[in-house]
Amino acid sequence: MTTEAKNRELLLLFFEPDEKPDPAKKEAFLKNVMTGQITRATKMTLHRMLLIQVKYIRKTAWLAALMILLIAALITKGNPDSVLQIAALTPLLAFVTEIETRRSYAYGMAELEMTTAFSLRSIRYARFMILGLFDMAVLAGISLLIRKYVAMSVLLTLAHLLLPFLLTMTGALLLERTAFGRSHPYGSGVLALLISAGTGFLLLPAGPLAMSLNKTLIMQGYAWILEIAAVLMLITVIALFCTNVKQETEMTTLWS
Amino acid sequence: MELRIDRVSKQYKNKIAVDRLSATLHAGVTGLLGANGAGKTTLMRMICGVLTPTSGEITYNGVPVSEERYRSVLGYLPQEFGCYPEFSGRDFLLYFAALKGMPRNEAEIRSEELLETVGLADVSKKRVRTYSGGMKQRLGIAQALLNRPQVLILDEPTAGLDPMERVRFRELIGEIGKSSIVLLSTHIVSDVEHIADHILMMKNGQLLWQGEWKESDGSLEEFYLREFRE
Repeated sequence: MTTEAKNRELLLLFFEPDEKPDPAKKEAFLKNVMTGQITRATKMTLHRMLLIQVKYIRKTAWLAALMILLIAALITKGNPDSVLQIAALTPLLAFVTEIETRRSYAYGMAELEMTTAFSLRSIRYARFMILGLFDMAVLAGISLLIRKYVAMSVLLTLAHLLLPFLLTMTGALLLERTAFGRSHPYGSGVLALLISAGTGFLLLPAGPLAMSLNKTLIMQGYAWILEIAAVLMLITVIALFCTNVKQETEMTTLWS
Repeated sequence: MELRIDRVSKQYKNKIAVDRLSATLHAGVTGLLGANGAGKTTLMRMICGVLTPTSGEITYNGVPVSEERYRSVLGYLPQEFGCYPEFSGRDFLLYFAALKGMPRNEAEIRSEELLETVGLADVSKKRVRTYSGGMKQRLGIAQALLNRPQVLILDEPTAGLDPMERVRFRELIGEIGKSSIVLLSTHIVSDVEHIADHILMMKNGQLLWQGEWKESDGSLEEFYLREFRE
């Protein structure tokens, strides 16, 4: 057979295969492929799921956290009493995080998100985890930043910053579980402002009380008392927060 | 392919929304008929795992509907749904494709295909909040079809659709029903009369009648009105 004849034969084979795929089977084939992919996808790692959620967290949530870091940097310089002033800002950080994780309910997406492979609970947990870690990084950054100017250990500073933050989160969760909280989505914002004001206006002007007590204890070498008290308070608030998250999860399952 | 609803009840305080309901659904379109407040939405929410039954069990091929592997083959269109304000129609589909675990490149292909199918390709980059009720409903239908579901639950899917869209929708559902379980709730008999292989009729949370409806049986609408008048 000449080369030309061979080429012609190959061309014929290429354009007119013996068995053409059945177009009716296309949908069934695609369905099988998709089902296989989805089965694999549901076994997707936590890492990939978090990456998906990172993409859908609004820029404002990241920016708000960075703004607080910036304000902290500005307040701190040469100000030895800046811990409580910065602590007064952390409820606002908690509010931004809480609002971001509650968007599904606020915009009526919850019912649809509950029926996807990654259920609403996983989505909320993922968002809490991402923003929570980011917030922790911001708070840790602030603690390191003010270390130079404040006569407190990093642990104590972090405890001061975390307490109003976690109190707001816990309060917001408690509020969310009431009929009032569900019908007033920005109620947690008011709560954040109240805790912020409480931290800023009650504790700060009470400098003669709270701050002088702190200073006296620190000067007399009893800072460890403050540290233990702060850590105990922190553990209590964290326990309260975790209990609320667990109860809220059960509520979500039985959501009606 | 079998969706089994076994003596399922749902009680809210002193109201029984669904009362010991049993049915088995196979591939094909099943029409769920009932007046407003009959318990259709509650039943559908339980089938989708959104609500937990007070008693009874719902399984798909033996898998409880609360499991993740069931949700991966489920498509659901609720009666009402919202959307994040910054989402365009395309973003909405890509978001749900991601939640359904679809890889990005395939999600994009499938979204384009579905936007074309539901006639939203031209407005896919516009914000969903600018869509009309009918457009939003079509987007919801596209979302439910993203993962080529084996179980498709549609709660009042024709609400807001114009007559032409209704006809197109029925054709689409009829086609999907050839290889999937489709449960479609409505209180408009004509929506299911010609495409449903199986009919379930609900009243006061109970199953009033279930079975196949053939043309030779006469008008489904007349039967429905007769049953519900009593």
